[in-house]
Amino acid sequence: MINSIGLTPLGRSRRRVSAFSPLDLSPVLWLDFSDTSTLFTDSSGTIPVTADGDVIGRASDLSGNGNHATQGTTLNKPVWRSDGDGDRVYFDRSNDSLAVTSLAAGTYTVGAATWSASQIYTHKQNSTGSFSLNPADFYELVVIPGTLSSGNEALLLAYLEERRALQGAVDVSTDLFRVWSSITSVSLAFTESADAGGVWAAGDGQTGTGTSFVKTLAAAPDWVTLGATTPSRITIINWSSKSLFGQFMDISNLTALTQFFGHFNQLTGSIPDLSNNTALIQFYCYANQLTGSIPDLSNNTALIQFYCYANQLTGSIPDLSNNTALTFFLCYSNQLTDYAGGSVSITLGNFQAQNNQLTEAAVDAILAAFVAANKTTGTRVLNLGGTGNATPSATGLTDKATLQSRGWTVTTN
Amino acid sequence: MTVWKYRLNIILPETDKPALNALFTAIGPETDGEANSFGVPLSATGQEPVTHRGASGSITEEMRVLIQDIFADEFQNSVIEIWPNYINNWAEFLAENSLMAIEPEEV
Repeated sequence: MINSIGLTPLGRSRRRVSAFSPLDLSPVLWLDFSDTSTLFTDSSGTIPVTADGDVIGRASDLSGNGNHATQGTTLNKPVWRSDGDGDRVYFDRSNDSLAVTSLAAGTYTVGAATWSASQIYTHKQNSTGSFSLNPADFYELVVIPGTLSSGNEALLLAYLEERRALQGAVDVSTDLFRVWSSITSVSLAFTESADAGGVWAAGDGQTGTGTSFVKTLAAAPDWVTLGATTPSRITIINWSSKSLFGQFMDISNLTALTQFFGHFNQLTGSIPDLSNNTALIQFYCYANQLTGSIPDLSNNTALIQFYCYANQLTGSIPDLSNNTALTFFLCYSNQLTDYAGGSVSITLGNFQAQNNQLTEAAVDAILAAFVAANKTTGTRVLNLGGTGNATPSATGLTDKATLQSRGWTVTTN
Repeated sequence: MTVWKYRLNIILPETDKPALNALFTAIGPETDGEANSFGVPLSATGQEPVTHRGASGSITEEMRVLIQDIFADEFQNSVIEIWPNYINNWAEFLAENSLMAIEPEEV
């Protein structure tokens, strides 16, 4: 909140809410969207932000490095919110962004106090250039070169949590099926094989029943809790592009689920355990902010399409030996490093893992698996190239040539 | 004091993009950056080719007058909605006009 002369009531002393300060970690970028003295409606930094709803054209860097985040296109500017849920930046999820124009190539630790949670994750800047803030509602953002020790990571996380608490941030529950949306009208649907007893409740106290409904939230962002008296009768969930955020939901009790569409949201956390979802045919969780590893898919023998690309997933591509119906597996643009091994099905004709951190051994093993599958008809696309993946060895290149002779479009580095 | 009073939702034919970006460069409060105003690629299927462009953002009363009154002819092929600034119904706006954003997909 701001007072009548536009100064933050607690001034700069607010930044040091504990003995710890982000400056202790020598950040390259530190943005505080609760400090209006650092926020401007124009990208050149001359017109200060003063009121709820003002656009943000520049957020000045508090790290001392001059890495100010700017947006020079009026319609692409995010909005400063000061509405009782804490002073923060709000991105509209259509075209808004703020960018630091020249962040050096390297690995960074990003700490963010957002409307829904405090997060710490790794960002790999592959070449010196623009660094865009993820479209979340930030109170504060700290970017530190390299990786942090566990002790420093804990200090940073505690600091971010303290900052959220000072702003009166909402406490996002991890209840099953509680999802948060930043749009005023959210349509959430699930399909059932028989009456599953769908029920919902929202942050404004309203409740209802039904398996497909449009909930008009009184003031977005707000939450909706979904439930069902017989979850095992739910077959399809389609919540794509609903501006949902918060932790990815646990779907382990949806044993009849065949299709899950949760893509194009801002969900955080890990892909849940899918071992109970043995009827699953399609699973789309791409274009979220998911971390952790891809779960074991060995029980998902009916799986045909698995899309998890454009997240922040780490670890290994799982063993797909049991997924004998799989046709599409798209895991590109994550931070995957390894391949768990095993065979791939002759049905699998579109496998894209570009823009990861795959080792030479992983690239070679994937190429060998596809040679062994011996698929010679239909769609045949294998992409292991892009930024970050290792080049194949001589053996891998031989396998690549074999696949190409069988009509595959193969991309490697 | 400038009041960012409204939210503009706009869809325009792809063919109008160069002219309207140039217009916004001339009338917008920023300078060179306004040439990127109408940049969200749209189509009925969410796949290429781009048939329309879109944008959603906060505007002032002065900008609303420019768009809806003074340069109304330039925007005559566009679908425009003006809402209070705290409303964000971009997804519904696209759905009502049977359009989807084309998300970048690497192959």
